[in-house]
Amino acid sequence: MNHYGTEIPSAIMDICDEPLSSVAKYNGRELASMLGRIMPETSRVGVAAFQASI
Amino acid sequence: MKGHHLALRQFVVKVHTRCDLACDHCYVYEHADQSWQAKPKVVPPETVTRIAERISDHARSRGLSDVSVILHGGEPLLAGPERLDEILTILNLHISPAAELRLKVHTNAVLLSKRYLDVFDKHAVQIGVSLDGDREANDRHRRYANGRSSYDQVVRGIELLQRHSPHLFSGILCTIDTANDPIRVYESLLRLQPPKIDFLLPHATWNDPPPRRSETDYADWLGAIYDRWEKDARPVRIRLFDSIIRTTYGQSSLSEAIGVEPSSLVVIDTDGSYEQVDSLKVAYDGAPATGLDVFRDSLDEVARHPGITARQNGVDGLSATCQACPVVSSCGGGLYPHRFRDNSFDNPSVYCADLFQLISHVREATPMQAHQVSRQTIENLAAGYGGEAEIRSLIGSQVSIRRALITDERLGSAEPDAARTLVDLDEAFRGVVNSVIAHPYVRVWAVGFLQGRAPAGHLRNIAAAVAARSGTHLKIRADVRSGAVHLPTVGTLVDVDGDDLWIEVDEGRVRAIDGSGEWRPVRTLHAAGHSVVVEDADPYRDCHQWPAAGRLSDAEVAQWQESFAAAWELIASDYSEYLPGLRAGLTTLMPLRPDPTGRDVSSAARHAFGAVAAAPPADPATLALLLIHEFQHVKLGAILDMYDLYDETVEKTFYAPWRPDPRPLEGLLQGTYAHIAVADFWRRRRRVAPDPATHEFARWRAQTAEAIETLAGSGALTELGDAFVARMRDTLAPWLLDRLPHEVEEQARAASAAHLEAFQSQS
Ligand code: SF4
Repeated sequence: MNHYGTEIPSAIMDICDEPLSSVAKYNGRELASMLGRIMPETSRVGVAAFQASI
Repeated sequence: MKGHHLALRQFVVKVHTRCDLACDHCYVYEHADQSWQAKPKVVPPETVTRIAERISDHARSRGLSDVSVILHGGEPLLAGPERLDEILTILNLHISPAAELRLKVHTNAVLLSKRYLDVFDKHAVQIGVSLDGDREANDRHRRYANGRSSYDQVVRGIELLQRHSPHLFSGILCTIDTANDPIRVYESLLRLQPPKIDFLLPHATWNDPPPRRSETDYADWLGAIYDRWEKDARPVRIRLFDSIIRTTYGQSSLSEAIGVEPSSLVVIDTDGSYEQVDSLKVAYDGAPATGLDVFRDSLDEVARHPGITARQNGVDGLSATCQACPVVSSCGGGLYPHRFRDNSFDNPSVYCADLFQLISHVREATPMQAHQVSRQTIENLAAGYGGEAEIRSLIGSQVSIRRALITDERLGSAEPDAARTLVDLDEAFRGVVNSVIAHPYVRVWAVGFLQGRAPAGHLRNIAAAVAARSGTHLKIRADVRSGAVHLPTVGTLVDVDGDDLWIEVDEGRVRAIDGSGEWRPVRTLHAAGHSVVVEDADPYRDCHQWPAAGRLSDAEVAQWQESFAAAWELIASDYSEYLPGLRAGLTTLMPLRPDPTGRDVSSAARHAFGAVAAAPPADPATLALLLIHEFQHVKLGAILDMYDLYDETVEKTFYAPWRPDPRPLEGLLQGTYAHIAVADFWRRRRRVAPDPATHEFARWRAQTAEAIETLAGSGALTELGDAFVARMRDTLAPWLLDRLPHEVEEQARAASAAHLEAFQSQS
């Protein structure tokens, strides 16, 4: 992140004008990090899950 | 004691070494390692007991809250339902007292019957199934030894699972063969309605490369499915695509196939030997072996094995090519065994070209923009002020956070009708939706729900509030809390019974369909050019440091009105720099219960952007100070939602000149930022009330200056945090030059010294 540029991108995705139906689609994926940020206690330790089971 | 090496959290327990199918792409039987031939066919009960004890010891010694055990094979169902029941009982008996046990089984589903499902239901075992697509695709590899198709049997098994125990179905694993049509594979899997799908690249190494028609054969195949999946609005979770998107946006991957998460996995064979992940079998004969087993060796020892730790070094553990790769944060060099070439894993994946193309393709197709704030805006806020434009940029990000919260899938599945109603209202009245969800306590409730502390039903009341404010007609079963239905920013239907109540919203009016209750619209406090909601009814408002007051009487509201108008006038005349920010961002005043000792209490809460909570103040000047002070916390909370000003992993605590106890960095930063405004308040107040303003100013400027230096020297600020604190210092610097009576300066200095001494002697 370049803190010396004029605009500093934040950790919050701009979905103010994104239809709620697409926001739902982004949840758990694009937005997981931003929600993990405001609720750190719910984010789990990231470990590599065994690929040969689902 | 916690060990130096990462704990193991996932245990693949082989329960049967043989399989009833003879898939030609299976890594167990068809690749270099042939060790399966020498092991017991079924894992004996005494071995299971030892495995369970080892896992439980490890969970205890590492303080793990949960562990996963995955029953695997061969084909685990070949062990039979009775033996599986016995195995699962032993595992539960030993492990559950130590940590939450998550059980999974992975099967080809050929044998799946009600008897198995009853066993899996009894032990809450999630079931994953392998299936490679439609009949033609599946039969390309997944056949019985005599060449017969397994397709009908597998589909029958999945359909039984869907009918009998849909809650246990965890998804389908599909191994890719690019000779199959990708869309047909996707559609045929989708028809079985799995909750999740994952596509696996066939096992291969640089020495034994996969069949391919072009350099990016697999990326082209997966890309076709990805495009279709996006076009369908992502109707199912696809683990590979989800992982690429999540890692692109800074979250963890969901599978070891890609990503840089450390491995926490160990495989335990039917003879009790520990192995590294068994897909390593593709590399060379004996590749997964550790030489350790459950009878002699603890899992703490396994965690130290070089084969395990080699896969815990993130990007640093990858080949030089991968480390320099622009997509490494998503790819992570691909699946570990796929990197093997000539006795070394220090290579990119044999699927490198495919991974690069697929990840780039997904990234290009999901371009989300982050909220951006100009450096000047941050500097203005850091200085302690911030006008309308600055506060508006914070509000935008708060609205985005709330849109993400109310569309969380857990809320959507708990309240599907309300979620759909909100989606429809949002199409027509986005501005109204955004202004209802911007209410401070909507975020408090949503976070409470996601953390298991609040019910989902408030989503229906939010939908009703949007309908009321947009003039939409709506009948909805509203959520009742403490005998009232509260519609945020609109009002409350009081004196109603039950847990829910059908209400009708029509042309902005709200009534219970059975005619019960009394409607009370929200009340507001007015001042010149501004009004705020006086929030004395929201069931989620009681989230502040001090208890919320109950519903106010009309007389109490009138008193608040008088103080608020006078405080606002004082801010406008004497503290005008704070006015534009307050006007843009202060939406809600939440009355607190008066403190029994008579001192002034006030508070802001991190999740309640826009609200200041306060007990009735002694006079308008006190309320002006409380508003200015608490709104600093509101602003900084929103900035911290957006930006890292300090390293969150720093656990050290710091001396705060106004507190008896050491504070974590965020607490110190919040206090210091708020106290700039407090010092400023008393600095200006000296003109009209020199006593106590002069003393207060001397005290607060000294304490704030000291705290700013503690922050600056903490070594824990980010680059942006450094700049932020430097601007705070710039604001305070000229105030430190203000000349005060000598004895006042002396008293402030002595008080500071005494406070520090008391703190030091205590610690
Ligand atoms: S795309 Fe290739 S070079 Fe890049 S991280 Fe993946 S395997 Fe390594």
